Amino acid sequence: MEECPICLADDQGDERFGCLDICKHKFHLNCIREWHKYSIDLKCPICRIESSHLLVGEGQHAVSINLKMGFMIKNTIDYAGVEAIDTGNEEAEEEEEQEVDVLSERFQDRLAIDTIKVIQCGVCGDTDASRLNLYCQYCELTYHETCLRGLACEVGERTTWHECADCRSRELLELHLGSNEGQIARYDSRSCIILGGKVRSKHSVRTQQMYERIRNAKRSIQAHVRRALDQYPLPLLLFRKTYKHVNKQVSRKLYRLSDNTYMPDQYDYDSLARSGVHTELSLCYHIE
Amino acid sequence: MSRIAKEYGDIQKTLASNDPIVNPYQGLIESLNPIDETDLSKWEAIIIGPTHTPYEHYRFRILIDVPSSYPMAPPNIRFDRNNILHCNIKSPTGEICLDILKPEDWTPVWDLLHCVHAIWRLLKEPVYDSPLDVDMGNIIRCGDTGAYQGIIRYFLAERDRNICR
Repeated sequence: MEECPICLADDQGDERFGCLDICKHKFHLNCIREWHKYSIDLKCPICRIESSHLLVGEGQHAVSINLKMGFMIKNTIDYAGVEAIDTGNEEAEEEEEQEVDVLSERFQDRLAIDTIKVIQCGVCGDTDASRLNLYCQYCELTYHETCLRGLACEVGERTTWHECADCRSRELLELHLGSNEGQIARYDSRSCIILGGKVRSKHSVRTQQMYERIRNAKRSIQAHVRRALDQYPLPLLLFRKTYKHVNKQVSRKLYRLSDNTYMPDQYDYDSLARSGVHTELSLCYHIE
Repeated sequence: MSRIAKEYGDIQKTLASNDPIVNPYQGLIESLNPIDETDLSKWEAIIIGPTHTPYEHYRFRILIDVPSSYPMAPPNIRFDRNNILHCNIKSPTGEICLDILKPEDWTPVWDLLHCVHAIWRLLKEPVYDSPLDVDMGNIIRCGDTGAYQGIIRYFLAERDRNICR
């Protein structure tokens, strides 16, 4: 019988165990997670070896929990709390300023500030987003066109100004951020990317990509159905209503077959469409 | 069953045993009990002064407060007031300076027996470089072990004389 070293309970498997990835010490999932709300680091309570992941379950169903992420959020919240308390008392501000500095220092390495990117020119450092008009998709750097041209002139390579000053990629994209009234534009690179010259949330990009993938798959399948209809022995185009109805029904059936993806090497869409059209038509005429 | 209740059972079993493997605390920890059986948040322990120290042959009472967040937060442990002299203990309050009892060094796998044992070891091996009783710390840091131990012996003899009266 296994015993959790934190709660000392050796209960009969109604609590799940988690295992720290480096030292392999085991604790109840809830106990070790609760401890991380109190602890100042991610060191193992038994051996003090730091682990960044907690493994839950075994074999195929194993899940690895990233402890660092949650810990970073906890520290950020703690830090925000400390800051809020310190700025609340403005009279004693000067005395406290030093304390806050010490605290910021203590928390600095744990805060994820470096993932928040300020949008500024990679040459002159200007943060007026409305005039920035070029973007390197590889280094996530933005530029003024004038700055890049100026730089190219200074180094005597007038003709090759259209490249990233950092990685030398020539595939600079146009950026249209528009004016944001003197405020510094910034974005969180964990949740946003620059796509097509716009700062967009990764989520929306993923949705768009999924939508486009489905639309393309449907278009490919529809082509097969239409061909089957056009090649049908009867001149179906004469009965527009029937043609549209059969087209719709057969296409829908085929989308469902492969969960909205186009898999021509798995399915013979032409013969499927032909037999689909045939059954659908016989149904139609039966009813009518 | 809560963790502290579970510990209570284990402590009773351990301290009642005469087998040195089950009970390595024989001759170190005399007792460790909740002051009131119905309240497991307040405990007291009696430890026996380690041999070859001025504390030998004396008994010391330790008071333990177990917070509701235990074992995530460490227990609060102190000696009786004006009951002991030691460079890591503030005699008038009984406050103890021991790293493992501080929130930043505490870990939830330790239990009350570990803590009391650690305090017994602190009596045996004072930590000179982080004194809570600065005067006692200065004497021992000067290297005057004789004076340090002499003062402790005198203090303890006086303590027991006052109790007898």
